[in-house]
Amino acid sequence: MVIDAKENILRAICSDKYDGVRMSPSLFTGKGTSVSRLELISLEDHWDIFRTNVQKPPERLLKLIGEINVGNLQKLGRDYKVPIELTVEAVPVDWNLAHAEIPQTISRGLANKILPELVIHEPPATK
Amino acid sequence: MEVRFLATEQWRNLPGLLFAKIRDRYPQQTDLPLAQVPEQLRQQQPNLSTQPLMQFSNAQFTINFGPRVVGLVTKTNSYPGWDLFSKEMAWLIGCLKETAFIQEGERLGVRYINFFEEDLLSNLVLETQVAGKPLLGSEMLLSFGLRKEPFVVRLQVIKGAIGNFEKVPKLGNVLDVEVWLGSNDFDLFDNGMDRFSEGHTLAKQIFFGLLKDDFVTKLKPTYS
Amino acid sequence: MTTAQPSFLLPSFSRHSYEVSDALQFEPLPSSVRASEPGETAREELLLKKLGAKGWGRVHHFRNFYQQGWGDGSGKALSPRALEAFFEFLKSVNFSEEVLPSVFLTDSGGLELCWEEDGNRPIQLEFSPSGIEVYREKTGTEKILALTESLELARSVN
Repeated sequence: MVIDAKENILRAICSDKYDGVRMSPSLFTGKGTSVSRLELISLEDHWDIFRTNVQKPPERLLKLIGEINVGNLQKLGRDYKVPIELTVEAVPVDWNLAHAEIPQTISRGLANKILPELVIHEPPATK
Repeated sequence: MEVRFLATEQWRNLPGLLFAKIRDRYPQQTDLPLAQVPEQLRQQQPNLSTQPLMQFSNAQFTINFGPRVVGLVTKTNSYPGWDLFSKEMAWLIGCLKETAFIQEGERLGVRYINFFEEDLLSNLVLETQVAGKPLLGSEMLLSFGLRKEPFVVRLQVIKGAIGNFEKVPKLGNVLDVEVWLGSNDFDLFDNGMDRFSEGHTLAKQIFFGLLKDDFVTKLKPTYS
Repeated sequence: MTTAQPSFLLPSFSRHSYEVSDALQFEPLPSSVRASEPGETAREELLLKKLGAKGWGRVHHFRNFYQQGWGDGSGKALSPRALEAFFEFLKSVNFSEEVLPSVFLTDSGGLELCWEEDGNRPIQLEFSPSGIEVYREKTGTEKILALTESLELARSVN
């Protein structure tokens, strides 16, 4: 199922891809980038889901969550010097029913256009 | 002979894959003590992460196996000669190729640990001195890291070693020669045996190059 | 020279991004001291000199803690060949004083090095088992080199 352009998607940003100063473009390069749909699960619940399933201390710590609108992502793809029609497809998995993928191959150059457009969320303060 | 590698699968899947290929020739399987150490602790120590966790044995050889290493070892004091040893390694490489779990080779090495009951240091062309005077002592460990491109060499000389030979301890001295290649200098399934052979030749050159001529004569080596 | 921050650099957060895990935060024991392998200390020094303590720590972490199947199960362990080419590159490259590159582990087991030139023009190199992907915004370069070309690459970015 192709996700509507109005939806926003999230990308977990872990310590292998973020060092406190820079984010790695390889967050988005390549084929089949994993994302998650904000429409189905709240941001707060996404923190829990990502911490449980994506984070694995001490090797990999969840640092941030990046958010982007699907329509915005698609516009970036169309406006890129080598235009590409990006889609986001729902691929629910056991641990995340909101899981989705970007099936197309995103080049490094395009990934460098995507990163600045992310809305970055810090971890919520622990209660 | 030893190969360090990156596997395509996690460790828990590897023993079964390898044993299926070698069981007829290596029926005996033993877990090593390090296998009891939790994986996270092993990973924290770089010198543990490349150690074997289990062994497969027969009457003549032992295969050491770990998440990142596989090695063929002769039984103590019963080196069968390079021809037989290399044939066995070639067979093992064939089995490894069939398992298809080696994604990338990291290191390929040959190591000879030679035990002498007689005095060793005085029979080597190697000298140790302090302020111009010979360094003497009942126990000594000398370790050198050298390069003989493309090989890396680790040479250890131990004065005051204890060897276990058929459960009988003996006091003596050790000349330990290890040579290896890094990941970009070999392709295990393409030229692995050629590289092992080159490593063997280098280790032999180093060994005989360190011994004084009269000591070599006294040992009465046979060359193959 | 003032270095402008690239547009996707984030505001500094109070929290350190690289933290030594609790299991590693203990007094050094004698057993944690070990002899290095030939050439190893030179490489450790190279990492410290070119990437700083944080970069050295991150490479150490990638080498020792990211096993096959990391992340969601599809992550590949750090490729030895990629690491060798990475070290060859680091030996010859000279970063200007104000530049401290970032190092990342890619999902395919490669090492990615990122920094900026002329203020905020990114240079990104990905060392993977199959080659070195080069991205240089200033020159519009997007190409893949063989791992054996790491020395020439270092010269071209110096």
